[in-house]
Amino acid sequence: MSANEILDMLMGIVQTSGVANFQFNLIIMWIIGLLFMYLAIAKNFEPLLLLPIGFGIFIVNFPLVPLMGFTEEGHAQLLQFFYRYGLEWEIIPCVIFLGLGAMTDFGPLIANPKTLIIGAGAQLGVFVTFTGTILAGFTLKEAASVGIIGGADGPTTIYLTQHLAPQLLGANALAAYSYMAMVPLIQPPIMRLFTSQKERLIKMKQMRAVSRQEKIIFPLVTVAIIALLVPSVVPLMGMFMLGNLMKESGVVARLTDTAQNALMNIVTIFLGISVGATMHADAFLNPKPLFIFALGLVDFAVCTVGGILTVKIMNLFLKEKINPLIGSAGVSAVPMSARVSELEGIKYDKKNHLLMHAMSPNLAGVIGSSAAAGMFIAMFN
Amino acid sequence: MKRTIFTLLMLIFLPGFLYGGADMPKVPLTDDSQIISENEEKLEFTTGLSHDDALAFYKETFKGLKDINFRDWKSATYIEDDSNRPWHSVLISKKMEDQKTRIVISQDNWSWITGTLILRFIGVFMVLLILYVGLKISGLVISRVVNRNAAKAAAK
Repeated sequence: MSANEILDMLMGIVQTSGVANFQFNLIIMWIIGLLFMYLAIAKNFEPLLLLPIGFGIFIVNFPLVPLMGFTEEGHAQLLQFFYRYGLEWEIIPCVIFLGLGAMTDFGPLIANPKTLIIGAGAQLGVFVTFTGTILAGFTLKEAASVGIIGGADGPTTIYLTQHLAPQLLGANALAAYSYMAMVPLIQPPIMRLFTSQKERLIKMKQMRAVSRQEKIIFPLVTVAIIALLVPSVVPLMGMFMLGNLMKESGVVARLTDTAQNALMNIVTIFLGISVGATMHADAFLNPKPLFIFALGLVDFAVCTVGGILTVKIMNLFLKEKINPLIGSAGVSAVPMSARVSELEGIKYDKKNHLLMHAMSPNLAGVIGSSAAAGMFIAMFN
Repeated sequence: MKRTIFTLLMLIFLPGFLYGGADMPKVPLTDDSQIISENEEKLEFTTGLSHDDALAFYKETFKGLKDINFRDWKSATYIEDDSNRPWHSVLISKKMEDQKTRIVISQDNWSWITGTLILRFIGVFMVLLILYVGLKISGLVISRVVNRNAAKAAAK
């Protein structure tokens, strides 16, 4: 072997390494990825999602890594495969909703169905943020995908964003899950600002018992109405209600167990790492994600206000008043925002437990945010 | 402390405002267009082209552009921009008047945005209201059935 051949070989090894193809903007993405992993591990901020998302961001931002591209034969590489068949085809958000449905008890909502209106009112921020996002120069589809962040529903955000503005998937998902984790920080000041001392002390009657038959009929009635009115979100809501029907029927315990546990865990891993993998420095480092983060906060805040105001308006017509502190639970970060209502309630009256009452608008918010997403999809169809 | 928070908020918001949309070309008019009226919000003109020819002209003009929707209405074809171009819509009438086709280009999309948002927000309420009614009815029916069965069981 000649010296030239050896040198050539060595150059080849160096040039196919990440070091020779390094770009400094990748360091920023490493920091972002590490930050989210830190928030997940050290602060316990939505770790199930922020950990794989953070890792996905970290690992794709190395030069020449064969993860999000295509092979010479045209086959998708590993993370591109998860992204294409999981997210592009909108499979993963629907399967996650299957698992969520299998974990959800709709009893509080069935017992108090008027809280569905709170779930609708809490979508105010979605539409307000849509307007603000357009002012900032985003397209209408991008604005819709950013607006839905306030629905505080990860799968719905991912579903709608992939549908309307897939280029914003990473930023939107990250904003949605980050702010969901920060609900205990964002909501309480707003709740205090928009409620009076007298309103915070409203005690609500104990909810009626809900029969097994009602819990079985609920997913069927819900999916039928959603399918008739907002068919574009039936993939999401249909799977949600299937999971719930499986749970409530009690006759498919193995399937329910799989949906709640193994299946949910598997798709969560694929979801997290695929979403993170979309955030390469070349696509992510522009003012848009920063603005999305800022707007996401406004979105959550206005949705909280919307829920509280909806309760106050309902109380003008109701004999049995609703405690407006549960209005903020219309922001469907389940069960975090319901817990925030509980904690705020007992601050003012230790015997005023609002958790189960707050679960009702919390669950209504899931349906409300899906309805809002359906409205946006219909806008562009 | 307040100044720090304000400065941080400005640093967050400023890049977004500086971002803005890219400059997009305005909608071209047909070669034989005769302008009827023009203001900040709307440009109305007529053309000797038939509806189908005018539609073909705009399809060719917008070929390759993203986020443009063609809606076939009863009396007109509505071309809508779903991005952030300086125009919002082009309405091509299907009915010819004096052998001319009327075309209206709307610049303003804020009235459309506000209107559609309010309608859709109300739409969310309507969906959930209908679901509420559905649940109430199904709850009533089921509780009657359950109570009847319980009464029968108690009678036995």
